[in-house]
Amino acid sequence: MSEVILKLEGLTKKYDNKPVVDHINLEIKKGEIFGLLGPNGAGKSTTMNMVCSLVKPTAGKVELFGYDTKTDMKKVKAKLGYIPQELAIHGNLKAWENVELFTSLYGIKGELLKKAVKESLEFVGLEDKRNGFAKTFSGGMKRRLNIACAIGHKPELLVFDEPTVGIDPQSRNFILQKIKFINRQGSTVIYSSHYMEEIEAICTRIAIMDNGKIVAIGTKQELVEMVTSDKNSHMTLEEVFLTLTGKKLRDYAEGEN
Amino acid sequence: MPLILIKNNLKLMFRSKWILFMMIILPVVTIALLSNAFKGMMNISYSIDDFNVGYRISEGDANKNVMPSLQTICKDEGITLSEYPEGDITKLLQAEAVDVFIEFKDDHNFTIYRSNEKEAQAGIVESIFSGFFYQVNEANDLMTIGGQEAGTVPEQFTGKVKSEVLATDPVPSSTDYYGIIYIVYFAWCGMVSLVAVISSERKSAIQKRMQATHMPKISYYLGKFIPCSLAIFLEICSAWLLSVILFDIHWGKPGLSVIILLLISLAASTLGMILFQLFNSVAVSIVIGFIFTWVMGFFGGSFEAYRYLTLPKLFINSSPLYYINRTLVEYSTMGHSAYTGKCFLYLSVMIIVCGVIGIILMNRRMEEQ
Repeated sequence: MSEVILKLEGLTKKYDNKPVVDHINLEIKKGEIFGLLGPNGAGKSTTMNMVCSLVKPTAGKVELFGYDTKTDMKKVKAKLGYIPQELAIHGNLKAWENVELFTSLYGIKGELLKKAVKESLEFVGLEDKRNGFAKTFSGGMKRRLNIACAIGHKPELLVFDEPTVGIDPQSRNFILQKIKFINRQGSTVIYSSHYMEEIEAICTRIAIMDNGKIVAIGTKQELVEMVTSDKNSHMTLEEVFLTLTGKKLRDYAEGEN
Repeated sequence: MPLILIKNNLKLMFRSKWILFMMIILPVVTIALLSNAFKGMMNISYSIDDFNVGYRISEGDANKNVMPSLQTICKDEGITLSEYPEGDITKLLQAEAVDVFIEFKDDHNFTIYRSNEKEAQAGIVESIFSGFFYQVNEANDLMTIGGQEAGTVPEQFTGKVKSEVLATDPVPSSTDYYGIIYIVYFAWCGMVSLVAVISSERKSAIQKRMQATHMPKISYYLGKFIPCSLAIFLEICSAWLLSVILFDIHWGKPGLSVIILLLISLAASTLGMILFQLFNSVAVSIVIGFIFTWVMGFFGGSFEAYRYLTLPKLFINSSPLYYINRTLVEYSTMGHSAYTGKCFLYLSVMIIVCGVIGIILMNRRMEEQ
């Protein structure tokens, strides 16, 4: 049986007494590409932020690599790579300087750091643009650089929070292929998105979130079986998703998630 | 020590053209404009308040019995004339117990002692005393011609006046004064260097990414504080060198002056760190920082030479810029300054206090997120 890397127990986050994440229980095993799917405001980003200790849970427990993040987060941070939904790069720094900066924050230095910078830039296809300023890059290049900044320290668990928002199909395809490659090399991936086809294309297991709760969890086939008794059904993930979460529009204000 | 964070934040600060313009070119332009505009500033006319005059006269001096009359005349002119039989004259002037001091000599001369800044007061006293003793002599002559004995009138007073200027506080030229004061002023404004890093961080999710690493919180503070201090120091030293080359500004004690500039850079950084933690808006932080610097400068002699400030002493004494300006200007004019200790103390306390507050605020801000 595979080792459990992440365990969430009754994880809850409330803002103004309103639950944004509501008693989530979840286990993610080593080697998985775990998809977190949900409409806007479902609580995906807040869950990711709690996993990375960027937001304190109101209740519940996050266990990473067997450590309680409330007390032992420092022990596991070096094993964690976080790619936030928004770009997290300095526009006035060159590509290699950005990667060097964020990789160094994990304690990597000297020749190892130089090697990590080179490999990370090669990995995202930006080695030939290493001396370009990030502010001059296209949206897709910035997204790739955003990823390069999080992988230099070779994390065992990579948390991608909607990494493909607002980019062209080619860049999206490139990023997805690279995520699969990272996973093949041994990293576990948590991937959050509301693009069904992305989740369907790369994830081995999927959790569908709505209103702060996990409404369904399993492989794509298991999710289909939850909504139809037809074992030969060719339902898409989108159809499963809409069946489970409904067709009502999800308008939410900033800060609600 | 987060060396790469420091290095890259320093790069961000030096790559901001408008910060470089503000920290290197603007001080030089300001010095050029103000030193020319206020060339005659150090000798401008101004109204004189009531002031104190001390005098010393020996017991046997014939002029002693006319001093009460002289005191009455002086009182009408708003001058308090008091006798100081003992005490060091220089110390009395430096302590501002008296503004001008008259010493009657045995040869019927008197010497007027004053500091450089009390030239006008000394002139008034000289005029009153000369006029008074001229009349006394005239009266004495008339009585002698009339065959009367001098009696209560003193023997003939020669009226020779010798004026002596004590080297208490030489006046700097306007170029030297503004050349020094505006390097100090712009060093305080240097907190603006933090904008290059903080606005970049706040525009994107960099803070979030940094919090996801296992970097200690203190490194996050040092990663901004150290490059900001270095940037201010290097930029302001460049402006300093440029102004010295272009305008031949005389700085005294270059070693101590450099240390003071370094301490100002550290203090301005700690102050900036507090302001950028207190307010979410970068613009609000800058405006508050500049207002604070302006107020400190207003009371510290950045806009009107500190020697002419007629503001309440409490406000003047509470401005760190007053001690820094005075120390550096006195280094330039006298080669030493009695304000050195206070200047170092003020800056050191400010660095420590603002540093601790800044770290606390940063920790709180990171925990709130």
